[in-house]
Amino acid sequence: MSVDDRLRAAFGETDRSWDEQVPDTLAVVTARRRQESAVRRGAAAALVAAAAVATVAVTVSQRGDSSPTPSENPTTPATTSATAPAEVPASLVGTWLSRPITHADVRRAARAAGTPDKADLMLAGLPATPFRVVLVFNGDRHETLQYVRSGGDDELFDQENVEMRADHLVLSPQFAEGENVHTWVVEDGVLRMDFVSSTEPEDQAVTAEAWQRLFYDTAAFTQER
Amino acid sequence: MWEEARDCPPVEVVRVDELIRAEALAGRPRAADAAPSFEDVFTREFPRVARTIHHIVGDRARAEEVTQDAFLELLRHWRTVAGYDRPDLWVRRVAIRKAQRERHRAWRRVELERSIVGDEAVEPPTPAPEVLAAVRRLAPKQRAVVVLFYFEDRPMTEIAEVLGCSESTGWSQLHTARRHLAQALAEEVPDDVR
Repeated sequence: MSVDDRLRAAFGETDRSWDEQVPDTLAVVTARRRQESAVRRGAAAALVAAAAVATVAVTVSQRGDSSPTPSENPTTPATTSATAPAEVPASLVGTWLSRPITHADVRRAARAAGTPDKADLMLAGLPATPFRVVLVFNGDRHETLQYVRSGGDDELFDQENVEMRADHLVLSPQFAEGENVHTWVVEDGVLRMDFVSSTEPEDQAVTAEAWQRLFYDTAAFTQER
Repeated sequence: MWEEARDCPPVEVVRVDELIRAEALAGRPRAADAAPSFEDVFTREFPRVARTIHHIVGDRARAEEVTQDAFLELLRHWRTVAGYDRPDLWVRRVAIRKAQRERHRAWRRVELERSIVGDEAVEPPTPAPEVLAAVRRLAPKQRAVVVLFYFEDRPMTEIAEVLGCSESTGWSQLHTARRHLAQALAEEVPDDVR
């Protein structure tokens, strides 16, 4: 018997018990999503309320008057979750390649994230340095694939959904909760990103900020043709 | 089995629709009307993806957690993914990446492997447990290729799409895996994959 025959025989049994779980699991998944949406709406409402309070406070202080009146030119608070995600800009779509990332860059990223003691943990989970980071922005899918190029091989390292909010790039990992926000600029075919914030939980004791700073901010990216 | 699984409580159907409609009202584009509903995709694909992930991680509880998270991700991004030709491949890719994520940021690979396939792990039913045990000793990418190729019977074009690699890389991983398995199982390994 060949190895192929043995594999097909071993995989030949279909576990039907998963089918029975469909209704219950669908209910769980939709409930989790509904809970997320409720939390997000609550956060958006809080942001709107806070922005409204801030607007009133600014108006009062500028007028030097104790009787606040509505501003003649009210502005819309820049909430993030109530607006539609903008398209990924054409200038960002494509493949981007970093310079070689070194041991020192990893330590620098850990330090910048306020966790210099985590650099060794980060290094242990990475390929041998130096390696390059390859970012592939897919405009149709609103996602970015992040590869690490080491020794001629590209290893898929992470996969995040991409949204544009105002001038910020928001990356939501497809394998974890939360989101990561960066500013970005493309000039003369060079992409530079700068970390703003993260709500992604830490991963095996290393904060998302440290990983994000390492992969996105350490080096500028040149477009790969 | 799909027909049985379609008998979901109607109340949940309404809830999914409400969720999607509520978010569409927030100004986001909706998928084309001809696209399948999230519920359709979930009903058809959840058991299939769960079985595949079960074979990859070797533990039922972990497979359930990973698969559920992947479908939650699908629901989060449904308006976008519904417009894709193959949402089923998208959710597999997310599930497999979730299953392997520790490895991509892992510094305690051996310990993780032991924790994933511990003494209390509930493994998939099989007439040949020694073969599946050998599969689980493969490197993660090789294991995923083997499960998608032999268990899901997918063509290499789709396997490459799911794993985010080229077809040639997929074939290379498969051939390497077959050599390792042949050695572990003391079997012959023909040149041509069958």
